[in-house]
Amino acid sequence: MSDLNKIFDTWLDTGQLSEADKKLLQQDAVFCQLYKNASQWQSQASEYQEAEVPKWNKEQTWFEKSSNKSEGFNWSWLNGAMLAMSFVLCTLVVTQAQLDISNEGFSVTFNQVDKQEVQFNELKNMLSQIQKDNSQQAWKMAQQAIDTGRIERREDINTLITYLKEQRNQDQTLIKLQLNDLAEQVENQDSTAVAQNIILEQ
Amino acid sequence: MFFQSEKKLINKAKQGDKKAWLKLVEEFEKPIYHYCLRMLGNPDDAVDMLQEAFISIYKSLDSFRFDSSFKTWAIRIAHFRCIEFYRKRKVCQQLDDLPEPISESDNDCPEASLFKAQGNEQVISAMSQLPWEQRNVIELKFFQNYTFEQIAQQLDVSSNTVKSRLYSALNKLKPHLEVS
Repeated sequence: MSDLNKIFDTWLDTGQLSEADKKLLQQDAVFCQLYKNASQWQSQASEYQEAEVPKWNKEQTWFEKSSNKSEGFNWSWLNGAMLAMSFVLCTLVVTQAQLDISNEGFSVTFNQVDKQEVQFNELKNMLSQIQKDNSQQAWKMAQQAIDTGRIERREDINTLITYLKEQRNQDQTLIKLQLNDLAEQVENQDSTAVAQNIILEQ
Repeated sequence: MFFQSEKKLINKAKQGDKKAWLKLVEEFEKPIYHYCLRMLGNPDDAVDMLQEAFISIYKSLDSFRFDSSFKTWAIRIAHFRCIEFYRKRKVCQQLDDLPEPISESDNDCPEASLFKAQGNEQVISAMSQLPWEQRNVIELKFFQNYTFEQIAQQLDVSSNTVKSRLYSALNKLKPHLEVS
């Protein structure tokens, strides 16, 4: 920005112009014209007379701000209602109110500390009963398992003993047959051969 | 003392006091009307705009927090209304292909003769020759006496843009002023 620009702008903003600056502006062709025009505008603006305003309907600019009023009313009413509801809610929480609805109607009860204790004890008893039942069931199951195992073992041993007995009978029968064979052979041999224990080839 | 009474009037108007509001309107109708007149270049449009601006001002009165003077705030609202009006007119002109109405065409209008009688015609006519942005800068600089920074803030542009618009406006106004 040139010095002339600065001088001109400062004069327009503050109205202050030294004689030297004025000369500088007037020496420049462009700024001389701008200065002249601006001066003329300044004088015309100061001479501008604000004449009377033609008649117009001022009343039309005023209107009832009804919407604001109703909004304000609603707002205050809403505030009050909210405050009351908050108070009721706080009271219900502090007094531990409980609403019971049944076929006969409904009832509101406050301060239910004792009732809560009773409920707690009932729950505790129920829980201990359930635990006891569970342990009994577990014992029964174990007993049953042991019994079943015992029966199965007995059956297995019985089966084994029966098998052994059969084997023994079979062995005894075989030995009997062999003895009979031997007896027959002995009967059919000579007495000397028997004495010398010679078995003849058949 | 004056400011206090102005503040009282505004507060009363905010509470829905019709008399206080009408008093406020009477007090500020002149600067707003002349602002509209210089910006639109037509007394009829200026009166219409004056009414629209005051309706807008009344609607948004609750949002006025005394951060600036009431006049500055009111003119700012009028400015936005003028922009809307100007845009609508521009669209209509593009559709109808009609020239922009300027003050010279209102010779038969009584309001026009009123402002001509006051010797303001030259100003109105000269400003009507300018594009909207440049007209706006001339208005804010010479009639509202804002600094470049303040104008830049109001128009949401850089101060260099404001300066260049002002220089262009001064150059364009040169022949008109020379004639006048």
